Amino acid sequence: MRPVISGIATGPDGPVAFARIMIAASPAPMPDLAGLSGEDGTFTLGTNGPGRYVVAVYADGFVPARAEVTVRPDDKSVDLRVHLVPGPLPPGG
Amino acid sequence: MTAGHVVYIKNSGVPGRDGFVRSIKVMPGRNGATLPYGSVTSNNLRTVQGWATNGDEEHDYGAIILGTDLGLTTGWFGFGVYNDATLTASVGNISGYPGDKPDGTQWYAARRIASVAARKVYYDIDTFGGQSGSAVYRIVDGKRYAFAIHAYGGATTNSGTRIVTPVYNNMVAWKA
Repeated sequence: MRPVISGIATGPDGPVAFARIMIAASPAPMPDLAGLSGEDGTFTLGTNGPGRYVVAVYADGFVPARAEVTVRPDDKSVDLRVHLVPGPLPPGG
Repeated sequence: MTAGHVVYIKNSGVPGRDGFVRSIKVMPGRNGATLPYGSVTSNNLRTVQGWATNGDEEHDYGAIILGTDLGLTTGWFGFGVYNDATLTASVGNISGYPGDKPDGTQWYAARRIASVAARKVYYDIDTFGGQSGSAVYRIVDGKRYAFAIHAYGGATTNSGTRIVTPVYNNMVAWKA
């Protein structure tokens, strides 16, 4: 079974529910999916094996955040905590 | 049509998670909180053994079967099987819902196709997580024809599942 990234998105008031979670960089191409954090802010992302991953987190009312995590060959699950700072989503373009 | 991994979770790494998703809510043309065509929820989903059993990205495609005639209101893409020369001379177009943009907003990008393989199409059309399942399409005489289904993002290239004859035949059968 492939290792997973087990994370939680938090803000100043605690867990952030329904944040959009994506892998922005990975050692090999991955499905172009986006997930949502649960009501308790937690999320689980699949990986395609060991290497460096960048996880992007977006939530309305918060500044987008990115966090880097390294999955090692013996890992089954790697924990990640992403703290979000209140602020607007920047205009797209 | 959509990516196989949209309708059927494979190699998630989470015990009990793999398999068909419970249901999918389809919201054509969604723009934030606005749903110009309403929404339809479906649990009638399709994929192929190559994805469900083997997790083979060359077979990463599927379908969401709707219980209504929503397409009569929205219109639909054409789709076709094209040879290598035609595809590598084509501009690929992708419109979808990238997760790094404001929630539920549709974004579009286009660029020349970079390369093709027997069952894959490669390009550097800008995409982000959340766009899986978007049609990769050509515009010919103002009409849009899908030739791949966007599925993977990578550091140097993005890619989709190429519509080859077996894929085309499944698409025709599934929409019947």
